Amino acid sequence: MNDRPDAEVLIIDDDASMRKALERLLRTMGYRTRTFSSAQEFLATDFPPGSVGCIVLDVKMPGMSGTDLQEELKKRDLPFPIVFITGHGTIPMSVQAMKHGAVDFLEKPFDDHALVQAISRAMEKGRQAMAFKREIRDLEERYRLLTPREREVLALVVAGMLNKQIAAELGTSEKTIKVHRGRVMEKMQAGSLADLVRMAEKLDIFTS
Amino acid sequence: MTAKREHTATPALITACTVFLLVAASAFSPAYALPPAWEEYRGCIVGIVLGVFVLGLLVVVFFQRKNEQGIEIQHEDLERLVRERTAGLEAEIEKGRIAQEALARSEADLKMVQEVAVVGGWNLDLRTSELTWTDGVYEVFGLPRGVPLDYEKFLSLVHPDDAEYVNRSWNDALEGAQYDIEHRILADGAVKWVREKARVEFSDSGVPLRGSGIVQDITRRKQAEQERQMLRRQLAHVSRVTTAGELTAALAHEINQPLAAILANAQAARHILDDEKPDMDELHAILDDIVNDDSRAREVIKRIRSLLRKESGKFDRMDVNRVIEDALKLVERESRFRGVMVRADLAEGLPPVMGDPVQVGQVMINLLLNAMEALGEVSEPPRDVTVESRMSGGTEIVVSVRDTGEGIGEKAMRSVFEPFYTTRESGLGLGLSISRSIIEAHGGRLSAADNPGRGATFSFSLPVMQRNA
Repeated sequence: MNDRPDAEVLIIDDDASMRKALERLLRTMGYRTRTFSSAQEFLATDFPPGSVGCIVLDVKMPGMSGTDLQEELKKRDLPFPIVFITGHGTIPMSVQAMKHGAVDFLEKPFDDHALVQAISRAMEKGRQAMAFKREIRDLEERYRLLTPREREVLALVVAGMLNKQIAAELGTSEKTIKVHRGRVMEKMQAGSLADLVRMAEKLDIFTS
Repeated sequence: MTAKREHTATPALITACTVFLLVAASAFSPAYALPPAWEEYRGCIVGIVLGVFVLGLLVVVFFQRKNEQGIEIQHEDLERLVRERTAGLEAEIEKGRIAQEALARSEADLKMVQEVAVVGGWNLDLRTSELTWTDGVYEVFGLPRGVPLDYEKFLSLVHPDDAEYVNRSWNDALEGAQYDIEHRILADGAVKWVREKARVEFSDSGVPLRGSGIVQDITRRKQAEQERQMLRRQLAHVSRVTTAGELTAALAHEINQPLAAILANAQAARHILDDEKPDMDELHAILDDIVNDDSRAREVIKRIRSLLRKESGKFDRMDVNRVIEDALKLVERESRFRGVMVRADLAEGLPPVMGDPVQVGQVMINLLLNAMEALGEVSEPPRDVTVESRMSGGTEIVVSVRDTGEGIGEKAMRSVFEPFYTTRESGLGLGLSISRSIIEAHGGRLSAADNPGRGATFSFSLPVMQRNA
């Protein structure tokens, strides 16, 4: 109940009465909510970049189903974590939804504690995903500042080569490599070699 | 026979000759006196007489011979004729024998029929009010022979629920109407069904004189009919339960939805009550919503119950559109799950029909589910099912369910109404055959046809109630 105030619970359910009850329940538990009567309505809504929150989604809806929407969100790279609710959760459907990153699968009717737990987990997961995404974006930003030569040096450094070896590899002096290496550490804001390796890992730029 | 004739002719001839010779001999013997002028020619005369006699004899024998030959021929003809006639007669006799056997058989059959069917005849003299029964009627009514009878006595034996109907029918017959009715009687306390058919004779001035008729015990036929009726109803019930099974997922969802909303609302209310200053308006709103959701769930349960209940089997005034709308509500969720658009185009102000809404509703649901099923494989729009009701010819209501599926096809068209024919993986294949028997029991018809464009249409008709019925 003490999730970040800017985090919203986005309720998508075709049943008006269920929508209203869910909204009411979540509000009394301190959540900010927004409701949508269909997957299409949700997709037609503009979300500012960096929006956080989680979706509470009815699996079975006419038109676009909950699982269809999950796929669509993935395609559009909208990182909202999803808590599925369903009247008749079948195992294959749950497995599929979980595989695609659903946080929870609640069967109707559900207990408010179960809902809160699921939403908290989803929010947490959403925050992590958001943080990770932000970090990657930062790293990519920094990486873009590197010259082609510095990128070459970075790749060889994280591959575990010594300055001398790198110099030989690139046909230049050890001193030059040392200068490049210093610039890479500075631009990437890496405190240590281990730091740099972790960043490279995240950026997926191992060459060997 | 020919030889015998010969022998009978010959002695007569011999006797005649002998007599003639004796007469001639005695005539011409010397003791017999001749005129004196002829005496000298006596020998000559005797010779001539004898010669004539012998010649005559020869002629007689010749002609007799000839005659005998003719007789022989005639005789043969006669015999042939007799033979032929005899043969014909034998055939006639054989035919007669066969006919007699057939008659005996049919008499035996009739006796058996009378025994089995228990038929009797009666006569009512309308002037003396004297009623007579054959033994068969006494047997049907379970009364000892010879009990004094009149029309009132007969009427007292009719089942109380049918007495008015019987009396009315008889009075109509006295006015000249047909009398051919089926009704119940009480024979020795047991309820029996009889069929009666009678004729009334009128005087030239139109006064009824005499009534005569037959009574047949049809209890067994009626029992068999009722049994068949009951079996049909049971089968229809089984089919409805199966249908309900097919709808289970959608119906469970439909009940679960309000239940989940009720729980969420109740929990929200609890949170509100935990506040220092509970929002009373919100609590009121919550309770209202809970009540609404509860009645929503109850509606669904009511619909399922109506589908699962055993119908009374009694026909009543029925609003066809109402039955259609109820069926549409039952399959609404199912159609949404399947992504099928169901449209209804129902004519307003349709007259009532006689029927059982449970059974006709079952037919509607069957047709709707079939139509949706037909759209299962079709992905390109439109995925529509259209239900229509309209008046036809002033005597019947026609209800049609049209889909935009792949159609039935000529080959399958012949089998769609056969029991156990199905294209579905689930389902008994009884839906359409039961639907057809239901509609026929309502005096209507159920038929199928492929649309000119896409898909198929199933239509059924129901006769509207006669105004004075």
